[in-house]
Amino acid sequence: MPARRTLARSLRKDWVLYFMLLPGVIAILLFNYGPMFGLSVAFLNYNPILGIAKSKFVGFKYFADAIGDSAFRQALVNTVVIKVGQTLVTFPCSIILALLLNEARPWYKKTVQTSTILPFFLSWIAIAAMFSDLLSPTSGVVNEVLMKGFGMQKPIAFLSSNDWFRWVIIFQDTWKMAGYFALIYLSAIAGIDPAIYEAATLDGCGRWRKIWYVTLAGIRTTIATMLVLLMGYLIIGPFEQVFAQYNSAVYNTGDVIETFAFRLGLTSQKYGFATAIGLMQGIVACVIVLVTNFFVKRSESSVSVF
Amino acid sequence: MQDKMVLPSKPTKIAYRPYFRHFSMGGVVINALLGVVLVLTAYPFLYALFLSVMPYNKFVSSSLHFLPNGFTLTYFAQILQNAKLPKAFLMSLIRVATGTTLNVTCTLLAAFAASRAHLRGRRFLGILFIIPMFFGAGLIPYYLTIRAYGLINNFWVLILPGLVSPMWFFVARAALVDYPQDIIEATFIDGAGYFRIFWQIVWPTNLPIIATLAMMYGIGHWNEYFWTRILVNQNLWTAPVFLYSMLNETEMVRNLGLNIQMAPESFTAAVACSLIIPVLLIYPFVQKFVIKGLVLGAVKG
Repeated sequence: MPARRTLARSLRKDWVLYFMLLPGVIAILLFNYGPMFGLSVAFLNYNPILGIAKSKFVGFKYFADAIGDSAFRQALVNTVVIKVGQTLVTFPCSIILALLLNEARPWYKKTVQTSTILPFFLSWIAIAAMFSDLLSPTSGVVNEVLMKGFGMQKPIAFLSSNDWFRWVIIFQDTWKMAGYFALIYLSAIAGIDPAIYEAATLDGCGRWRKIWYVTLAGIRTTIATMLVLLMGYLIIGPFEQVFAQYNSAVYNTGDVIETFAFRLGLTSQKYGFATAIGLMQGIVACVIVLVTNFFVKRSESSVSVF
Repeated sequence: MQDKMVLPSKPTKIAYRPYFRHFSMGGVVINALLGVVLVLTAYPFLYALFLSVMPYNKFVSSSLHFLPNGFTLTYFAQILQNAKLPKAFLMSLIRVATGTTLNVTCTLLAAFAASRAHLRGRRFLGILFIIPMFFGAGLIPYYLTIRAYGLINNFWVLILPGLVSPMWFFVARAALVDYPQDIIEATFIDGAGYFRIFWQIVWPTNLPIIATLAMMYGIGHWNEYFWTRILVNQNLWTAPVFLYSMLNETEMVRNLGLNIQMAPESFTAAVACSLIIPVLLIYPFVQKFVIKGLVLGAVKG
């Protein structure tokens, strides 16, 4: 076989393989790359009737508008606060959960694992419906426990209070995702050589030391990889989660960039403004991933995500 | 399955046992913590179930609602009585069946082709599929593009955009690269075409990855809410979208002061249960495969 064949020849020889790729590639081009042309709307005074070609070019007007818009800046702050909060809580919780599960008896481990991973498979609207009951100020179990059990005087309206909404969103993320992340850490733990545990035992390590020096040390690569993946989403808000649960009472603390762009674009028809916001978000998110990945790559070559 | 991976296999005598055989303080702490986790994750489901079958008079008369109290199917009956719901369930079924079949077939076909080592343009394909994982155009351009394609209110807008998910494409490709290549090469030399190799060899011998893809795509179609709500009219709504919209309607009814014989909390709980139960029903059957696949997806994706 020649080292490099011409394109025409490989097309002729492998046309069946290219044919197999066709549906997927066309779908990706149409629905993932197609909308990237729509990004031009960010620079246009877009009029749906005139279309992209005939709408007036306005340059970076909407970007400047967005940066000067206080509601946008609030949404940006909310996104970062919520995402950092979610990462700070969910990330360690899932590692601890994996370590605990690893120490449990098989049947107990299996039970807890099934229960913790189930929320991962549910849609945010199902979770939103459940939590609206759990957190209801009139009959929700959380308020009942707080009032009857801990003597709290007034019920808390968790989902319509600016003091509480972010906390709900943060801990709900832990509730939904920790079991899934723990599963990944557990599979990494399973790859640790049992001989290391044996050696640690002979050296007089107790259970806690083994957890710290063997188990945790053994999965540090996986932990670093997960951290890089999570970094990439630091600025991409938990859109569906917030969309399913927020209301105008908590716009101040709960409105994230995407919900803001959604209202602006699809409710108020400010297409250009909304697209400019989305574009800035996409670029920043992409830069964060590339930068994080670059630094991780330099420090530990096996960790980098791609 | 996970247990077997974690525990050393029986015949080898290894000093370290990941769990305690004797009583100790550490064991108590660990088991107690896991007990708390179990309650925190499982109780919300039980609570929704209790509320959804709690009769209205019991709901109103008691001041605590965290335990089961009476039994009624009124709320589920009320949901099921809705004349449009059977159609929504039919839509869900059609969408999950059509979508999942096409998703799995196209993903695996693309992954198989991309896993052939000699294929020209493999690198380009990798780049083509990886960029959407890190950069998306955003909501508005997507919406405008769909509108420009004339797909608003079209059934296929629910199926085609996610036809091949880049993440599952990479997972499937990784699995097929690891697949013994000699079998494929040998069959090819024997004169079988790639399609025949795909259907008769690759497909039947990769059922675990197919099950994972089917479960993840299927759950995705069942759970998808936002774009269904935005892009298509009520006739094409799937059951979850329709059920969720019923919540807003009952909210309106409640605000009007009508229909006092029902507790909205219970109705919400019944809706939540209707959304969760279908997932619960299929989950045990595919759990084994899916846990493997999720780990694979996270490691290689």
